[in-house]
Amino acid sequence: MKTIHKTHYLTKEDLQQGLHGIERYRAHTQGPPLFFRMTSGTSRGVMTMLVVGHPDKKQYEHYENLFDGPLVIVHPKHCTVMQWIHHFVEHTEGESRIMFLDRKTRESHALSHIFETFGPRNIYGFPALLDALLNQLTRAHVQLGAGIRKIHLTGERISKALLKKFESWAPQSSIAVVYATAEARVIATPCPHLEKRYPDLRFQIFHPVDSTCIEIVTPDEHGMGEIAVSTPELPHYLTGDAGTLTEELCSCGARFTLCVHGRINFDVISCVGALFLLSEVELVFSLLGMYVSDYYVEVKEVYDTRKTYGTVTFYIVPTDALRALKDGDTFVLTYIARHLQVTKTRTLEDLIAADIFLHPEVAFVFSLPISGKKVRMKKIEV
Amino acid sequence: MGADQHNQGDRLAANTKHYRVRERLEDITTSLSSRFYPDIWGCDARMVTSDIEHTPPLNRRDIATYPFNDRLYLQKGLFVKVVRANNETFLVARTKYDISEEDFGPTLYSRPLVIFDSPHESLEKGLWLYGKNLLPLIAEDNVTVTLLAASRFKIDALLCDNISLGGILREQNRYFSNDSIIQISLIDANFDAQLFSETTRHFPRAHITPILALPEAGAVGCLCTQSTIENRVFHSTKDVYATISPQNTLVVTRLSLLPTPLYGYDTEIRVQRRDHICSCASEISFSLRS
Repeated sequence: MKTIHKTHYLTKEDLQQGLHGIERYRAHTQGPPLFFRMTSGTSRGVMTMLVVGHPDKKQYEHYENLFDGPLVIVHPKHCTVMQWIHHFVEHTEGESRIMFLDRKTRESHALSHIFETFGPRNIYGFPALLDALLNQLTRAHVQLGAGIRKIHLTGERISKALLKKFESWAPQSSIAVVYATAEARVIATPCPHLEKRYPDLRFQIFHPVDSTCIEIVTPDEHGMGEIAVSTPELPHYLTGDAGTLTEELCSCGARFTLCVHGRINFDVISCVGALFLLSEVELVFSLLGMYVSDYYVEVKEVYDTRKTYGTVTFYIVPTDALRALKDGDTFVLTYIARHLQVTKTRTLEDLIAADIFLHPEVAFVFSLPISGKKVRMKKIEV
Repeated sequence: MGADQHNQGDRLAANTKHYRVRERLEDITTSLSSRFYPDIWGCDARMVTSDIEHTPPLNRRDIATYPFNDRLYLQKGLFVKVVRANNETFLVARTKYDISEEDFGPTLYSRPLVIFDSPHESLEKGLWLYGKNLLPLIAEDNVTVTLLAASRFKIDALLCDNISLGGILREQNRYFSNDSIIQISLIDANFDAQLFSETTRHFPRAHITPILALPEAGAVGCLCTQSTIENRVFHSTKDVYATISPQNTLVVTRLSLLPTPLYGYDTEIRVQRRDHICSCASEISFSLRS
């Protein structure tokens, strides 16, 4: 529990013990169904778990058009899949079907046969798992993407490269990202008008759903702060995501716009006044494509006797072109520092010159010091 | 209850089942949605009589090799499972209605953990439990996560298969107390005496209910309540009409209309007919052959 401006906020840590929401459960008593939600804590290492009620109609409206054709679910958490299947069988009157692609099926030789036989038209999934699925299908020479009409993604940030991959695999499909967390369910949904108005912020910009109350906690001068939500189960819950909430009337009638910048300390790192946005880091590294095949960035604050400095270490898997350069490390560091925007007006190079950041370090590695879910950037607490 | 009343009850139940078997045959023979049965039977389905004992048998291979879409007699609201059995991987569709007709054992518990080797089976049993107004905890891929969740939920029952039960017996001690489990519904196609005794020793307060089941057929047999664990006499479940083939395998017909109806399905589960007197009003008593 965190108290900010006299308001008590629940945090992920509060859901890492006990079972929040279970007090509403009455076995053998008819009533609205309850569901488990959990995260295995890829970002913070400890599992969170809670019991939630059925989302209201509004929350599912956005999803229900997925039920109009064969729907495949590609999700790591079976408790979430249970909720989807329950919702599907309870609310689908028409000719449709739902299938979960579990890990064993995704990794089996029968995958292409199963996928072809089921004939999905819509997919709901987790970007990294869908990515792995596409790799499997491509290896098996299964070209079923043309039949896909809707892809709904959730759970993690989707990179531009991945988006391009999904779009080229399923060119007829519309791809939507819903802002949701396992704990607070659907928080905000995309809007075509918004995406048209802010094309650069596609998949980051949403309208909050009516049933969820959103606030931005401790916003900075640009209005960016931690997103807190209030749902029937979680009053004042800190999501761990950074975002801005603005009031502007949209053509669709919505009054508020939520822009999500990513996970605090992962997609958005605040360090001695500078803000490392993953989108900016990705942009710079995309320009270094011919020299860098993979990378990972660590940011930390170090305390000197009188002052706190920021430091950055870039772990880079170099390409042959970079290895062939005489001062490859200096070249890469100079390029990144010169181009990486860390405040609205200043680059990393500017902050080094202003003695706010120490000189960054670079380490050329064969493989990255991270595994599992792709983490590009991390703040190291010293 | 007198013997006459017993017999009357038996006859009524058997008649009801016979009637519903005929209904299923009519569904199959008059359906315009699928030619699955005519193709499998290799004749005009209308020529098949209602005498189920003389119906050409249907087996797993017939289902696995016949195109999924072409064997669907129902199309609405299908929950599709991936079934892996005997080196065959195929799809089986269920609806909430036919799942609700299943018999996966007594439900005198409040907090079940549903853990099967295949998550598709866990999800199906989860839907069944929702129909009983129970909140199921569905096992995750990661056993540690599952058991950690189970301890937070304070589970009091397990719905599981042999493989998963074995896994729980090995790992559970660190997460929840043996005494907390009051019911174990063991749902599988065979039962191992050693696993049974190990489970009884491990969970002394648990009532263990073996349910004979196959992923493609659902629950087909349940232990007679008047049978002993050693004696192990099974009856068909309430939604199943069962016979025994000349090869001593259990042949079942599902009384609910499944998306791919099961009519005269040879489960290939080897059984022995038993002359067992009880008040269960089942059309058949059998025990499993090893």
